[in-house]
Parts: sequence; C-alpha cells; structure tokens
Amino acid sequence: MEQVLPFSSLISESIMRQLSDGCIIDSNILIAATYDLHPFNEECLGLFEELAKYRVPVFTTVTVRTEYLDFVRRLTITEKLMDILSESQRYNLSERVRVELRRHKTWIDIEASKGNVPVLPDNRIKDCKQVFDPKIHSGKLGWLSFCDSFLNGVLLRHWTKIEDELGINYLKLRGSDSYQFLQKVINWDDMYKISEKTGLSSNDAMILNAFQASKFRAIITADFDVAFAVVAENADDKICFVPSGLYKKINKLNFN
Amino acid sequence: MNNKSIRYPKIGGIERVREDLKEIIEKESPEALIRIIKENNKIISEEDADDTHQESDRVAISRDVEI
Repeated sequence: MEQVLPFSSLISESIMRQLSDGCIIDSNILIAATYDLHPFNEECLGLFEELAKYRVPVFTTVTVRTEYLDFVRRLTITEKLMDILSESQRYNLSERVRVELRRHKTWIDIEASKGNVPVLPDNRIKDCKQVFDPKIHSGKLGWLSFCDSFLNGVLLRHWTKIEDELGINYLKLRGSDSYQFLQKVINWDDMYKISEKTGLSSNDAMILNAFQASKFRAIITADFDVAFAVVAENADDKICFVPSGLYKKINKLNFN
Repeated sequence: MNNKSIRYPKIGGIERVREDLKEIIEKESPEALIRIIKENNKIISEEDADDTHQESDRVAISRDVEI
C-alpha cells in the first residue's frame, strides 16, 4: 500500500475495516470540516460521515485541540470585529479603531477573493487589540467588553460539542493506560529528528511523533507538510489520508 | 485494544458541530453591551456639556478681567 492515499480510497469497506482500532486526525481536518470557506470543506464533511458509518474511533493529541481552538478563537474575533465595523455607530467606535478595522477588512476581502481562508492571523488581531481601550471608555467599546460579549464561554462550549458529536478520544502519552495505544515511549529526541528531517513545524512534529509512536496505522490530514513528512519518514506500517487535491501534489513528488 | 472506554463519531455529528460554530460567529450583539455603551456615552456627553458650560464661564470671567 502507498503511504499517502486520497480520501476517496477511505470510502471502501476494506480500508475502513483496517482502521477499526482508530486513526489520528490533524487539526486542519477539524478546521476544514467545520468551516464552510475552507477549500477542503466538502471532502472533510464526507470523511466524518464515513468514519461514523464504520465506527472508526478518532484520536487527537492536545496539540490538535490547541490548534483547533485557536482557529475558533481567531475566526470568532474576525467575524465579530467585522460585524462591529459594519455597525460602528452603534458601538460608537473611534476613528482610530475604524481605520484599523478597515485596514484588516481590506486584507480579509483580498484573501477571500484568492480562495484563502479569510481569518485574521494573530499578529493582525494584536494590532486590533492595541487600538481599543481595555474597557468601555468615553462611551466607546473596549476590548475586554468585546471579548466578554462574544468570546466568553465559546471555546469550552464548542470543544465540548466536538468531543460529544465527533467522539474525540485523546491519545494519552503518559500514565499507566498510555500503553493501550502506544507501541513505544514518546520522547523529545524523536520529535526533534522528525522536525529536522523535513523542516516541519514543532506543532506538526509533535503530532507526527505521537502518530509514529502510536499503534494506529493512519493519520488523516489536510496539511501538505505533514503528508510530506509521513512519506519522508517511510515507516512501513503507517499511512496518511489526504484530500484529493493534496494527494495529487504529493503524488507528483519523487522520494526515491 | 480494549474498546470499553473508546468513543465513536456520531452520524450527523459534524453537521451539528458546524451549526454550533455558525451560531457562535453569527451571535447578535448583546443588548446589554449596547445599553452600557449608550449609557456610558450619555454620561460622557453630559460631562462634556458641564465642561463646556464651565469653560464658557471661564471665558466670560477672563473677558471680564480683560475688560
């Protein structure tokens, strides 16, 4: 079997049966499946229905949880900042805030027109935060009030929903019951090597390190870098499922 | 593997997760927040009005002095 396969091959009973013990999903799969504007949205939606149909348990690590929740935070802040910009009189926004938000709206519109995910990155959110007063001051909306009104309770509520509906399991890396899902002890040295081999980000290297140490055969990702690293690692018993567009890109590369 | 404590994805689960996220990002502006902004703005406006009044008194006084 090849080391990288498209999602379409997952819609096969024989493949699904091989994953009956479970698989690891990357944060970008959760993001793609839940966010309409993500380029892999439709494929990832179908994927979860197939996993549910064949009762394939889904495992994640704390890194996946952190990355997904960070996306939800940025998405919520982006949407609500743009909402308050469109209702700037109601919120009595200062000219300074309006100018700053308009600057980011231009960026969002450009990203959306290019087919990219139009969600503000952290550095842009920090720029926005700096132009607000912390509290409501002189009758103008403050950043803390903004967060309290739109973000308070959101992350806990949404992750609880995800855990319940998608049956998220955690790959325990330490403790007496970790042996259930691990075939070897996870250590930092392996993570450094994975990162150094392909120039993979630390977060992705941590996910891949957990996958390599686990008893699971498959990781499902929408990240080129992760798929690339799986092929480069060349572990016999490990496979990576990716959306079809990504599969074409990876499949073109010659690793021999 | 011991499957006793393992959870499984639910049919239609991803749709319900998507609805939850949509609800979060489409949340209406809380009326309480708008009210606080309005009230705070009103207080500031009244203070400004007082300041203007005091300022005009000061101007009048200074004019008196000049006169």
